[in-house]
Amino acid sequence: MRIILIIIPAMTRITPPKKIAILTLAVGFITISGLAAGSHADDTPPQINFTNGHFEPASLKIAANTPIKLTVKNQGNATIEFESFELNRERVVQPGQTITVNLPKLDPGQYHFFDDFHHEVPQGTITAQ
Amino acid sequence: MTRRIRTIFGVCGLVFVLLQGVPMSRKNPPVSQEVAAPPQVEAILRRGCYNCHSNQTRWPWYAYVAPVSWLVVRDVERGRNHINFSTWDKYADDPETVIRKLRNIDKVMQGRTMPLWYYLPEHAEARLSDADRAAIEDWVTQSIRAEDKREQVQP
Repeated sequence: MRIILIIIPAMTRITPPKKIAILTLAVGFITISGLAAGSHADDTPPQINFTNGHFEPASLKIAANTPIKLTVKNQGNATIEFESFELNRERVVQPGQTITVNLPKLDPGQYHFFDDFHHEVPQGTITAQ
Repeated sequence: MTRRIRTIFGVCGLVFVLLQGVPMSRKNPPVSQEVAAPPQVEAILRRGCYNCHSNQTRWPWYAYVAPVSWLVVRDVERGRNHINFSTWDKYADDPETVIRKLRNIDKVMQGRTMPLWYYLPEHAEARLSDADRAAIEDWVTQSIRAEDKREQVQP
């Protein structure tokens, strides 16, 4: 906020061409920062948490045709079994444990997963796109 | 035979015929990679397990007669979902999944819950002796050790 209070009066004393140049540089800087932040967010490994008897998120999107390391964290009090017939994965996750599940390149599509120790838990979906 | 009994038989016969029209998938998808096992263990797996747990199912005649066919197809589908010896490469990227599948094999061998009891009357060759089970359990133990080592090496 202070920076804005300094910049605005300063801008009134700058000639129009210089004003345009400064504003262009500022917009460019903000855009590049935003893109960098966005690309950093995409690098975050996908994660599924098991909490309060369900998976969060229930639906996860990942990139297709790219090997992925999926993190599964069990924040509940009971052991769960993260399983997916479509992904060919079956992993036991103890309470409080975080595991990494290696997924191969996946064709675009939907892949369902579930807790094989608790069939009442709603199943989740991984969408590769 | 009374008219009533004839009617009942007729209705049952009609239902039986209609049931045969329910589409069922009895396909054998391609084998991508067989599980690696010593010849003795592979022979045991083939005669005891492969009909439900591989893509090389030998579909018997009753797999084409409803409603028994529904049970057969369901068991094969479930068997392949839980473990498939013909697509072992699909587990390979995740060594812990391979280990889990191997431990499940050990569990059903020790618990004698496989092959399913109702499968054996028609498939006597699938009956596993104590020696068969011991051979599979030994193979599982060695395979788990190998997977543990592979996992330590894998980046």
